[in-house]
Amino acid sequence: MAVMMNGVCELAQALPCAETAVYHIEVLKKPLSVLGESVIKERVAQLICEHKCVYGDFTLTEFDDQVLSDNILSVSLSDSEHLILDRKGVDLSQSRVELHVYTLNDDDAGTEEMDEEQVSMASQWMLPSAHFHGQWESLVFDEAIKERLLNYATTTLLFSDKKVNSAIISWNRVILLHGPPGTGKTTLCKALAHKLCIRLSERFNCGQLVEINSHSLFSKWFSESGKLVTKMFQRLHDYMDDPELLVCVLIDEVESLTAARKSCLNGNEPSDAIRVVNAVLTQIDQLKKFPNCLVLTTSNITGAIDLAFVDRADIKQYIGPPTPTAIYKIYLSCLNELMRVGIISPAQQLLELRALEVMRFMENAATRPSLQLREIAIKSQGLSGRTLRKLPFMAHAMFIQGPTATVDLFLHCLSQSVDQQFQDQANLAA
Amino acid sequence: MAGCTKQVDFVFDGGLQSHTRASLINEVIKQLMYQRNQIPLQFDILKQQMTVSEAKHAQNAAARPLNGLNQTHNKTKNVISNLDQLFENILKAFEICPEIQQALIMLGSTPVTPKESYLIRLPHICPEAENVSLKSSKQALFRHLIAEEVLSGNASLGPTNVYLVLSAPHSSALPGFVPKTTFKVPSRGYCLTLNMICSQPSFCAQDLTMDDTEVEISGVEPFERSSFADISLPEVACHIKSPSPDKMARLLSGFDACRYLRVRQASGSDMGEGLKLEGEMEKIQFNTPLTRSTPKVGYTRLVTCDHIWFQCSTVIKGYRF
Repeated sequence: MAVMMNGVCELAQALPCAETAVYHIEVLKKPLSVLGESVIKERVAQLICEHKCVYGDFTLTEFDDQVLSDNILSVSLSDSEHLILDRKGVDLSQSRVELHVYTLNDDDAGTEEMDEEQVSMASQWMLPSAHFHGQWESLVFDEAIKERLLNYATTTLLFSDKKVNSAIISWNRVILLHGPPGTGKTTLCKALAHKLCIRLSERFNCGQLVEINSHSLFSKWFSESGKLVTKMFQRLHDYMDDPELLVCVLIDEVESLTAARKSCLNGNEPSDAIRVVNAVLTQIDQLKKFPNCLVLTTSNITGAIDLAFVDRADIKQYIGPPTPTAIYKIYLSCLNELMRVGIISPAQQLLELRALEVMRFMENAATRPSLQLREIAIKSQGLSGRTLRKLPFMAHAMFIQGPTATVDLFLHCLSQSVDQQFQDQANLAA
Repeated sequence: MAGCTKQVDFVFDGGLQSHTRASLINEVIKQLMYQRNQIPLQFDILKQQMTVSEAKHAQNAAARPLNGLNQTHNKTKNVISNLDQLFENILKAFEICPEIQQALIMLGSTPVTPKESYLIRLPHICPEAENVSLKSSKQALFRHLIAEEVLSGNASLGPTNVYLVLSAPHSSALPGFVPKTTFKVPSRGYCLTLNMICSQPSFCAQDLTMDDTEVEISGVEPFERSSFADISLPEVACHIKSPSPDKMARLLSGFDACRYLRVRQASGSDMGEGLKLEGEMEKIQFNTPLTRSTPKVGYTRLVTCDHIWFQCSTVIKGYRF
């Protein structure tokens, strides 16, 4: 029967696809597995055929197929939320599916030092990295920001591969994420680099994330800072010379390197700072020629960034505080995690917001905790993502302090914790 | 930027046993750590000093070193412990898998962007050859390393990470090592190749281009049809007698798009002493398509392509006083 099913699946896949949406399935290999990618893909394709209809993201960690259970840690579909809009489910055997097989690197961050300065100029991770695994999924945004960034990177590569004349159509490979603190800009940059490396594993042999330590590029010697910036970028050029290496450069708090030159001229800043900005701008222009590079930058103070840099950014994405919908998802993931480890016991099914909507927010025994969580989410509006992820911990620390708690008790404490947070913020402001 | 590449040959008066190979690699690592400023003293001296220092502390536990000295003490202890672990892993790896052909030591922030790479090429295993003793092989190695300043010729280097990868057969399970199927020898930075050559009898060589036996190559199919040689496919068999490198390249030039080949020993044929085709078949992956313009690509290369790189999970972090 299974063989017949597989045959039907193969036939279905051979037929032309009506859908244009592409579903990305990521296959995480065990670190010690040396099984060929083609064999894994073949087996996973069969597995997907068996799971005919999907309604959203999923992760499989147990497999009947012995080859898969020996070699694979997980098979997961991600970012399907904005593709499965009609909520009816999707038959993957009838859809365009791309399989990405990858292994995680668990090496710690390496540091890049200037030979003569003996200061760490950058931290580096080999991608896909175990340090960033799961971060992409943990980020919740109302808009399709993540998909937009992935699509941007894909277009960048397409244009480079097709050798589009950059004198006619210009793109700079620079992304600027800006917004208030704690909204996940830096995490999003790291997670994006990690995700790109997985999605583009057929195009690039491996990837590297280089996080520049902006402060270390300022020298104690006058006029040397500009030279340090140039040297740093020269190192990056060396990496980018390998066409099979995807290099993602992260400049966190970019305003420290690209402070508006206009304000420098007022006399508050030495002219060395202007040299740094000039060096960064010219070096970013030079990165354009490398098809395997992407510059990811973040800033809290958009107004302080030099306009010439802002102009160079292809995407200037605002990352704001989460809305109640996103807050609900964040809380839901936190509570599920606490149920997984047994801190919230007994485990209880909490419904997704979509399910609550379908049930028209009707209150009964099954929906009560979820509705209570929704109320807390609405009350939490205005708090940053970082604070929200901290609140379940604070709720436990401040109001529970026992090894286990029921869902009802935890939700009550979480609500108290939110009130406390707002109270603390008000006190600080006063 | 393509790095500076240099080659140095080390000739030994005989074969090298598996344990000797591992020990020689360990010695190169020790020397490299010191010469490239990753440790302040020679490894053995550092270890000896640490033992003395530990004994002193044990005797007088109350007399704790100053904070700065304590940090250096901890770093030294850490490096020594990691290096011991690395050496043990190498010895175990060679014990389990004597077919290891290459070892690559990389100094840099990550294995894909090293500042310096040292590739050690090992000779083929030759059970018939008279083996050189560990002591005399170490002496020969050090004479060469010191006299010709092989490891100290490059520009100064600050403390960084030291990675080790070994090229071993695909199916090897090396404890303490993780397979890196996509790893390639980096071309970035300074690259030094140390060729360890044994003056051993030629009949022991595993070069199959010298083999006159009949070999059957079967299961060849273009990559477009299947990325993996399917056992159930009808076999496209070609019989080759006396396969010279030219002949082999000519034969394989028709299968440029093919990524995998199945090579099977013809029943009853003698494959020669050095051949390492385990069991009935062995899967072989090509890194580059074989064409007529690459006459040096012979049978030996096809067999060696089955090797992949295994990275040692212990990373050494250099330090200075």
